[in-house]
Amino acid sequence: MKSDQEQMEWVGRYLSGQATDEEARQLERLLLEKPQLRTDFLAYARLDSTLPIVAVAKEEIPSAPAKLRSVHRLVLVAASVMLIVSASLFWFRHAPDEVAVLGTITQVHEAEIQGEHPHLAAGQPVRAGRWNLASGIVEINLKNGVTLVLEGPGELELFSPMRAALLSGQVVVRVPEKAIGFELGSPAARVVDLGTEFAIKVGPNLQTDVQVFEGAVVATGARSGFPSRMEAGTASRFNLEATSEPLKIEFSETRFLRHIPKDVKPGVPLPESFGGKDFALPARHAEASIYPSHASSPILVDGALSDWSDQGRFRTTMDDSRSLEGRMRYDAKALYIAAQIKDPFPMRNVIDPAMDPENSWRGGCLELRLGLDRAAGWPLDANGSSYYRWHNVMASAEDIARASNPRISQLMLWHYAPSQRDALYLRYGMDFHGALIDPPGHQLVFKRDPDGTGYAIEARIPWALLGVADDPPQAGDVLSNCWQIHWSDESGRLPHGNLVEIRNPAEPLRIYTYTRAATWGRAVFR
Amino acid sequence: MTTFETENHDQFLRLYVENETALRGFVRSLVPTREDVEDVMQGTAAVLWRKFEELDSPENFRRWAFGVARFEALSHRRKRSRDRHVFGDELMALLEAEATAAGEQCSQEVLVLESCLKKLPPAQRALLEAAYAPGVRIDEMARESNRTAMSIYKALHRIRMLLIDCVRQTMATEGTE
Repeated sequence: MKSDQEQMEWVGRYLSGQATDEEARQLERLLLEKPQLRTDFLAYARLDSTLPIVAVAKEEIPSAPAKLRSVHRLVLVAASVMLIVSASLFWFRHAPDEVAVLGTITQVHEAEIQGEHPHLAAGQPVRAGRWNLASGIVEINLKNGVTLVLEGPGELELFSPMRAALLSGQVVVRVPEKAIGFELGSPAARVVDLGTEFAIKVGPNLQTDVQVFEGAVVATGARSGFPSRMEAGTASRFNLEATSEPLKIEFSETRFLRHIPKDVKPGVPLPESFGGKDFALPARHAEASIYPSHASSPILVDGALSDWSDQGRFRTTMDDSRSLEGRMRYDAKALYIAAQIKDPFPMRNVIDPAMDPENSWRGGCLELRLGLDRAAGWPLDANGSSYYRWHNVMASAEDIARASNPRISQLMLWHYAPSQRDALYLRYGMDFHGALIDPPGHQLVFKRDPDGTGYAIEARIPWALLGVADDPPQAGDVLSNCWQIHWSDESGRLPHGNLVEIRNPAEPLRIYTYTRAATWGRAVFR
Repeated sequence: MTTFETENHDQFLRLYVENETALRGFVRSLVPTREDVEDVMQGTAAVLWRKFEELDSPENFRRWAFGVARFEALSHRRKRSRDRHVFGDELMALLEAEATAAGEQCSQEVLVLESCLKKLPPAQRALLEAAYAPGVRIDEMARESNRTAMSIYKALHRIRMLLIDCVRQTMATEGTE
C-alpha cells in the first residue's frame, strides 16, 4: 500500500499529464476506495485550476489587498461569463483566453465596438489586440497605471502595458511615473512618454497630431527619423511624407477629451426590438424616402424657413427636447436644404473646422449623404474601406472603384461656436476623398430659435459641388440620400445621441450609414 | 434587455460566480490539462445560460451546474479522443457529489490561497508564476532553465502541497472548515 504522500504524488502526476495508463487505473481504484484521497484530489485540482487566475489578478492591481483583488477577480469573472454567453465580442473572438489581460475598461460613454455584440461596459477586461471602436468614448486603465481615453471611431492596437499603436481616431494618454517610457506609435510618428499627459490624433491622410498637456514627450516622425522633445502646451503635426521638422500647430484645450465626465447622462434607450441598449445608436428611423420637389421660385438662404412649404417634410424625434424636421428642394443649379432642429444645447459645437472637421459630429451637427449617380441608381452599391475591414472580406477592383464614385458626396454642417462660423465640410465617395471645407459657391446659414430650444439650417449647395453639374437630378429620378442629426452635451464637445432618417429598411440597422451606401434611403425627385 | 432579462442575467451571473471556483476545480479533476478546463468551462457557461430559464429554483443551480459540467467534460474528452485513461462513471459520480458539496467553501479558499501565496519563499513563488503563465510549457521552461522537466514537476508538486496545507490550516484556524 502506498503512503499518503506517494498517493498525492500520483495525483500530481495524473493532473500534470505524466501518469501512465496503468498509474491512472490504479489511482482510480484508490480514489474509489478512499474518501479522503478523493477530497485531496479535488483540492489539488481546484488549486491547479485557480492558480492561473490568482496569478493574473495579482499582476493587475499589485497594491490592492487580497479581498479587493478577489472582488476584482470576481468582476473579471463576471465579465468573462458575459463574454462567454454573448460569445462574440471583438477581442474575445480575436484574442483567445491565453492572451494576457492588460487592464480594465473603467468608463464608457455611448461606446461600441464593431461586431454583433458591440456593447462595452466598465469592468470588462482589456486584452492585447486590436480595438475597432465604432463610436463613443472608452477609458481603459492598464495594469501599470497608464490610462487611455479613446474616442471613436478609432482603431487602437494594444501590444503590452508599455506599448500601443493608434491607427486612426484620437486618444489621450496619462502616464504615471512608474510607467515612464510608455510608447504610442502611429502611422506617421512614434511618441515616447517622459512622464506626462499627451494626446495623439491620426487624421485624414494618416497625418498625426501630437499635443502635450503636461510633462514632456519625445516624438519622432516616421519618415524623418529625427526625435524631437515636445513640452507641455505644445502641439505638432507629423505627415507621412515629411522628411523635415514637424509642423507646429495650435495647442487647444478642448480638442481632445481628457476625461469622460462622470455626470453625463446615458443616451436614450433603443427600442426593445434592437436590444434596448442604454445608449443611443444611429438606428431609429421611420422614413425610407425623401421627396425633393422642384423650386418654382428662388429660395433666399437666410435661415428663416417661413418661405418653405410643408411639402415633402419629414420629422423624426428623439425625445421632447430633440427632434429634426427636414426638407429638400432643387432647381437646375443647386440643391436646397432646410432643417429645423430641436436641441437643448443649440449651436454650441467647439470642433474647429480648421483642425478636425471630420469630427464635427461630436459637438452637434447635421450630416447629409447623397448618391446622385443616376447610372448607379438605388440602392447604391458602394462601401467604405471600413466595411470590408470590419466584415473581413476582400474588396475587388470594382468595389474600390465604386467606393471612389465622385457623384457620391457626404456633407457635415455645423456652427462653430468659438468664432460664430457656419461650417460645411464636404467629401466625396465612400472613401471620403477630395475633402473641402467651406467650398466657394455654397450658401449656409444657421439661425438660433428665439426661445433657445433649437435652431434652423438653410443651405444651397450647387450641383457642381455635388459632382453632378453635367447631369443634375431631374423629376422622376430615384437617387440616394440619408440624414443624420447629432446632438452634444452642454460643452459642445461630447456626443449625446443621434438619429438617422431616410434609411433603406432592407439593410440591417447594425450597419453604419457612413460605411455602406446601400443603407441610405430613396430621394424621389418630383 | 427587458427588466426581466436584466434581472435574469444578474441572477445568473451571481450564481455562476458563486460556484465558479468549485466548478472549475471539479472540471480540472475530469480533464487532462488546464487548457481543457477553459474549453469545458466555456461550454458549460454557455449551456447554463441558454437553459437558465428552465431552472426551477436558484437553490438547485449548483447541483445542476455540476451535472452540466460533468457532461461537458465527458463530451470534450470524446471530441478530443484522448487515448489516456478516462475515469469511469462510478468515480465521476462520487467526485461530482463531493465537489458539489464542497462548493460553498471555495470562494473563501481563493482568499486564503492569496495569503498563502504571499508566504511562499520568492524562488518558489517565481517558479509557480512562471509555470502558470499563459501558454507556458514545462519542457520549454526546463530547457531554458537548464533543469529537467521532472525536477520542475516535482518542485511544483511540493509547492502545491505546501499551499494545500496552508489553505487547510488557515481555514481551520479561522473556523471555516
